Amino acid sequence: MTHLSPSTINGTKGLGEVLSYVNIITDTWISKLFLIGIYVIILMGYYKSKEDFRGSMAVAGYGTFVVAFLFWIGGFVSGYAFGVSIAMSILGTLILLLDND
Amino acid sequence: MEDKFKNYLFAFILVSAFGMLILTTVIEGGNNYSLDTSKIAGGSLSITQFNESISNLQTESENLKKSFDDQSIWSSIAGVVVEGFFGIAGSMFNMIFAPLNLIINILIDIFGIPIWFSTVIVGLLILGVMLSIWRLIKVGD
Repeated sequence: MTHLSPSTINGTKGLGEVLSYVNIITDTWISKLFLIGIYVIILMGYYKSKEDFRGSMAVAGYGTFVVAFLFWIGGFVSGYAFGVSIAMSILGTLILLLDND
Repeated sequence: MEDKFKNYLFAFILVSAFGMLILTTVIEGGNNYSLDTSKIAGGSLSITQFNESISNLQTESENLKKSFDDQSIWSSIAGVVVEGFFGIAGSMFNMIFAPLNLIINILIDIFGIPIWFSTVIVGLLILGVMLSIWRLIKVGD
């Protein structure tokens, strides 16, 4: 399988063009991994600072949802990947609200 | 136990409302940018299902209120009128399981969790909810 040559990138259009190129040659996996990375970073960051795993799941879910929404509008991720981020935010909310401690 | 049960009840109601809100945002945003929202807001993440869940909750709440108006739960505790308990308990049960079914569908369809696993979880939840309702009414708190 041949990929687009990096020389086809129009650098004058900015960083977005580079991201778009990387997204195409990785078959949108780079965007999915980016979302997973955001989720894990927020989850761990919040958990380490607040010691509250349920809260961190909700915050990470919302944070990832916002980025995934922008990615979806920009055409970087599929509807399915975005659906997973929505589901994570809904599940995060459920877990947060079930907190009885 | 009683407070936990009340929390579960409110949690499931709020999750349905939150799901509706988030999906409404997605559909509006998608339509503004001419994107296909059917893949997202269909299936388990369907706005219609969340809407039905909330409508169901409203109906069950009204049933619950009717049970409290019509029947005395204290008489059921004394063992005089058993129907009083079952009417109220049935409404509470439906109230919890309407949004929970949605969450279980999300787990199966989107995250690919095996059905046998969700069956075990649902089984445990049914038992837990039944015992919680019984305790709630028995203690009367």
